[in-house]
Amino acid sequence: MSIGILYERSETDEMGIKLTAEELGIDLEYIPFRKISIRIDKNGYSFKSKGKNYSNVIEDISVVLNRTQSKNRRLFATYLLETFGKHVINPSPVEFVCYSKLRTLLHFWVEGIGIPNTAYVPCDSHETTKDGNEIYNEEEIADLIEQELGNGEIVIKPDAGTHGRMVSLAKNRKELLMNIQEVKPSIINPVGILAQEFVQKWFYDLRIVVTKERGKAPCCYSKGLARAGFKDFRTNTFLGNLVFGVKLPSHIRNMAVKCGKAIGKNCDAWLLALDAMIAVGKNKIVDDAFVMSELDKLATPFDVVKKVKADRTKKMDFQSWNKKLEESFQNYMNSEAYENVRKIIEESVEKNRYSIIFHEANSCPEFWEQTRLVAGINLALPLLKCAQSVAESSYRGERK
Amino acid sequence: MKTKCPECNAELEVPKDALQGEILSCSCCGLELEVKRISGESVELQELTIEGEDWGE
Repeated sequence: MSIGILYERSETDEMGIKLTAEELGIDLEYIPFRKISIRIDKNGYSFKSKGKNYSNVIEDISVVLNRTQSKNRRLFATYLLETFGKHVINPSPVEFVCYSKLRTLLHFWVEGIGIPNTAYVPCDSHETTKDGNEIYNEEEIADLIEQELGNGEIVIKPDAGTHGRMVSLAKNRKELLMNIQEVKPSIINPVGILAQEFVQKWFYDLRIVVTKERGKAPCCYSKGLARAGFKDFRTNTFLGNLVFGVKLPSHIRNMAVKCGKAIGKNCDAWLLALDAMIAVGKNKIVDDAFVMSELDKLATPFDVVKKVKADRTKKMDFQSWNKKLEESFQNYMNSEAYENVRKIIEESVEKNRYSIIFHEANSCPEFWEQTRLVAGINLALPLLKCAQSVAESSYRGERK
Repeated sequence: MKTKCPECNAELEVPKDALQGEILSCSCCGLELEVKRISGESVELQELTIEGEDWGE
């Protein structure tokens, strides 16, 4: 029985999954999830694009890798496929939690996992009354947030945002009011304001991968991806930060598994990329100036990496592009500056491991370019193993 | 004019009067493609990048 892969657009991650599946001798069925129509009626269901009927394809598969990038599409896709009797990686309870930063934080918090101090105000900054009057709530919302988090640095985040979009940092009340004013109900933040006390991390944060196959205990990869830089308090690599592969101490791996269990609960198989920070505070092991100078040395080799990543021919000749990407990353990682920064991060992580704070879980992580080449984790492998573990148990008639 | 969808390899029928810059959709997978260049009977298509409602990770 083959495995389905649901996608919006086939990006390098999906092409990487395809390549990995071919190497493993696994059949993958590609199913688009954008310009298609799903019909449900008394006769059953159908799943069609204008030019192709995918209904039989769906019928013949027992498990689907859900690689739709949009959180909303991903959630709909999971519910649809599970209703049609398919296992999905990741299952709907996992997707539902990961969709929302607040839901994720609540799941961590209830298990005693360290999270940033958080306040949620379920009120929008601006409302309109029935008779057309405008109400401005910024002052009251700011009062409520400061009541809980104090009047130090405060981060406002959209509940369902990604890539650091619309995340803002306020250093004082004036900035807090401005930032609250900017938050409007939208698809990435349906209602209210989510605020957190700014975590005094150093120049890096961590992406940690945890996974569970059916019949096995959840596990955490021994290496994580550190995203580093001083330019922005947000360390998303999308915003131009540098990446380093770092060993994770066992305490952090154990906490990451705890996070995975908190979200995965009774689900048979899942894969998550957790975002975490370490509240280093004043426990820095070297001067910022030294780290900055080493990071500056890496700008040129990483620019080469970025150029290869941006190459628009990558999908036309994926194998050649992949080779160029691997070479450019290898060149970046072979430099003395890379090794210096990597060691600093690793030592800092080890020294401050008990100050780890988890703040987000990603259910459809990007991985082919950085996580794979820098942290050494090809997520296609555990994704396919998760899928196989549930597919095999279905085949053996063990489905509940 | 015939060509293939770069995503799903389905055969694409490009109208003879297609103009440069025109956007087509693959009927099998829905991928949006822009007509980059037409030269005689051959046509060069480029995948469109659409700003999503939100992005992945």
